[in-house]
Amino acid sequence: MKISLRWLRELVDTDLDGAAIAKLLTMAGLEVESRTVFGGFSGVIVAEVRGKKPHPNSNKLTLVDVWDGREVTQVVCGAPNVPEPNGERGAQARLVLWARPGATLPNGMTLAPKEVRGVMSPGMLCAEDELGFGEGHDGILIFSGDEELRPGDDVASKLNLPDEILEVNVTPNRADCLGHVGIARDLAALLGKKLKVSPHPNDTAQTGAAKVVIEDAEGCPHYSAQIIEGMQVLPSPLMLRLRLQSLGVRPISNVVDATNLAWLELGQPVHAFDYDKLAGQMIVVRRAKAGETIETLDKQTRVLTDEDLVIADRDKPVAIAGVMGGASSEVTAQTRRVLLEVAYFNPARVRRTSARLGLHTEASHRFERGCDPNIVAHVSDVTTPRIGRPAGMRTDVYPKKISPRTIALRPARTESLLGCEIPTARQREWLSRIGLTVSGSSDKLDVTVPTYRPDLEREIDLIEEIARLEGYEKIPVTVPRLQVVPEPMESSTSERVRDLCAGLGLDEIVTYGFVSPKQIAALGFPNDTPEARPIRIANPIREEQSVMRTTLMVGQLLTLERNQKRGASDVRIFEVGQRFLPSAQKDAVLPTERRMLTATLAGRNGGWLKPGAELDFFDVKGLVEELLDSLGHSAQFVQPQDETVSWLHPRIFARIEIGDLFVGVIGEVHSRVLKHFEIEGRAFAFEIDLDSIHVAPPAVSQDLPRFPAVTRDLSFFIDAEVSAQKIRQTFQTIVDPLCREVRVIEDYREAGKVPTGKKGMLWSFTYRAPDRTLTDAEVQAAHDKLVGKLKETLVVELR
Amino acid sequence: MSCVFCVGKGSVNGALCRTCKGSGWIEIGGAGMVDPTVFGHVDYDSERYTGFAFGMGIERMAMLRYRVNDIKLFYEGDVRFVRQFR
Ligand SMILES: [Zn+2]
Repeated sequence: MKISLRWLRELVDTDLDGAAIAKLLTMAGLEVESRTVFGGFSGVIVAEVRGKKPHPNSNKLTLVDVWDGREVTQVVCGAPNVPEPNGERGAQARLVLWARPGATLPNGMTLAPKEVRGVMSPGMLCAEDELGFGEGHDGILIFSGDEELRPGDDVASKLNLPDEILEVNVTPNRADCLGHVGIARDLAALLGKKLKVSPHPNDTAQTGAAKVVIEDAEGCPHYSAQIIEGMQVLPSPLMLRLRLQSLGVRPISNVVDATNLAWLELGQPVHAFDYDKLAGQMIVVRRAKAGETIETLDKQTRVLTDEDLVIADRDKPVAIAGVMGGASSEVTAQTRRVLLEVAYFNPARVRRTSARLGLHTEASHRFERGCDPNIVAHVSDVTTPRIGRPAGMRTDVYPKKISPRTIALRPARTESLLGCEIPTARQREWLSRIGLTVSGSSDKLDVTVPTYRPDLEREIDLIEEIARLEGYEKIPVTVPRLQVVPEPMESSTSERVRDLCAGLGLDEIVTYGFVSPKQIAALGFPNDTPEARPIRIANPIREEQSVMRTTLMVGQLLTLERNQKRGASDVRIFEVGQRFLPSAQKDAVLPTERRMLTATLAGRNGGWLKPGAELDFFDVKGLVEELLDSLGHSAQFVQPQDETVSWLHPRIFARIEIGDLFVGVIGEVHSRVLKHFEIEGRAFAFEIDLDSIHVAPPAVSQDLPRFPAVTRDLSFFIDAEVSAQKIRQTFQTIVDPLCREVRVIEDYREAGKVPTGKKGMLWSFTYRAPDRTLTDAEVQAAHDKLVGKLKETLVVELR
Repeated sequence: MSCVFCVGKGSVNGALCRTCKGSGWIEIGGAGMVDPTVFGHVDYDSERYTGFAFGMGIERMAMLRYRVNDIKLFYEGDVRFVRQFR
């Protein structure tokens, strides 16, 4: 919310400068995010256009005679909208702003007399952007003389410029601070000053000139309508226009500007209907009929549901209550009578309609946070004379009276919660300064909260107010006694894995848990798998982040693509994070969360063994072996014949297993998937479910061998299809305590040396006993057993 | 805490400091007393127990430690950024 310092000073007497006020508000929970100067110029005066003629050397320029109250001077002007000295609106609008030589503009420029196409110009006539008032540069600023400004007046001193604009970050609970008076109330409280506003009584119902029917009192507890006549739709006086512009609101006309002033001042949205365009000259507040449509002020046709609250005339909706007015009853230059609506709408209903329509306005922003239901009459009464004359009495329909609530506060509770002494009198003082009424004794106060503070509902809320106003920085500092709890096992696993991956040369990334359903679909999971059915977020901010990831691959591929687009093609990334799968149990409330390690590699191999070579499957497989080995597991890579992984190449992939346990997959990313993510070249990936593996306990030290080992080799031909893994498994079925190590030494397949379809292998076996030197016979016996087992299980040809 | 980029001044070489948006301060976390309603949801008697909760944004801490001036960099996974912190 933009707040004018000048306006604040009109509401609270203070000599403090902008920086000091910003600090006070910030420390009290109204964070001032920025301060900017508005109207920082000097030497600009009001001048009246007395004559004009074309520039002799240019048809785009005009020579304008301006009068500064004493004499007439000729100024060159390039704007197309120089007013006619004797034009139709006459003296009504021929005042302009003249920056004379010596004037300084907000951009720092100081004006000097200047020749423009052969004619001297003493300064210039200003457009609004040149004075920092707004963006407009279509022409010079023109205004009429029926206000305080006279030719010759210095604009800055007359309009009390420059002003300072504070951008205040109002938290959602502080609906009362969405207007200047609310902020000023807190500032006055902090300074111990009086808030300069006239008090008004709480609202009551009354019957006036306008005909109003409320059919949905739950949606609209309070509605007031005032008919206003005797008005002319004109631009507002310059001072008001600038006040609106300084707060980022575009001036439109005196009627619209007056409605905007109401929310800027009191936080209460107000709407003006062209009374003569309301069919039946009546207002009906009701639920929309399903499918009913309305063209809103932004020229969009909106389809409504019966959940939406509308303001209707006899025939049709003329506004979406609390959100936006309708085009059919918009105030125009021809409007002669206005029906001024000031109302209190149900915050939840406004929020739902605004969210459903994606229509967020200044009005909905305030109504959905909660306006003051008892300020309605006051706002109507101050706004009406800014527009015209009241035609009869205001109609107030107030079917659901909302009264101030009373909350009990124990001053001792305040002290025990805040951990410091705050005398009861001081607690009372703070609460009354923000407009609360306090009575009762010192062990229990009865605090009545005005309806402009719907956020104060409980004792704790009052304590918060006291803490905030007293100042959090005044609460003494004590160091709490804390108990140290060991780090949970699962987080230390993740840490280990991260360190290991980084040590293996991978770069860690962090990506979002919310992803696009389209990207999940692009991975092609079969429909019956949980991965294909991601959990949808209840209120997604945008469709691209509307479901929870069922795989970390989406983030991996998006990151790979982003890196490639930015020119980094050698990418080796990993992420450790949760994935979220719909629970297999029907009545489960929560999804199944699994901690995953997922990595993707593309480009060239970074290793020193074969630098510059393109990555292949075996590089990545080696990485996984290394990683799991470091965690105390030996990985097996199983290539099932009858199974595929939707996002991996149908043949270049494997299941990663530890013992009997399936822990992940590895492979080349499917070209169809790469194409969807616009990734160049090949990419390899693996994912491991970290929740399914445990980190092996620390190794237990063994005595070093004191007796020599004996090595036996075994050379054979075997079917090329039989993997080393399979052969090793065969040896492992014989558990011979003497056999300490089994290794592959050679695997050769050169034609001519090996029978067709076979491969030659050389394996080495190490035998040792812990307590003696083995005899030849002992070694031979153990070795024969292994060889026997091999021949019995697989077809081998010993050499 | 005081902004590390502009040393709390709000501007760097005359230009508005991007990190603190000119305020001279950067938010690194939040803290406060636990709402009694929250205790109610987990069957704690809020008359007997009070709680103080605080937390720091991990990105904020990293930004201070490594003088990173844009929080988005942490989530983009640009390897040229990530590799600076081996
Ligand atoms: Zn800074």
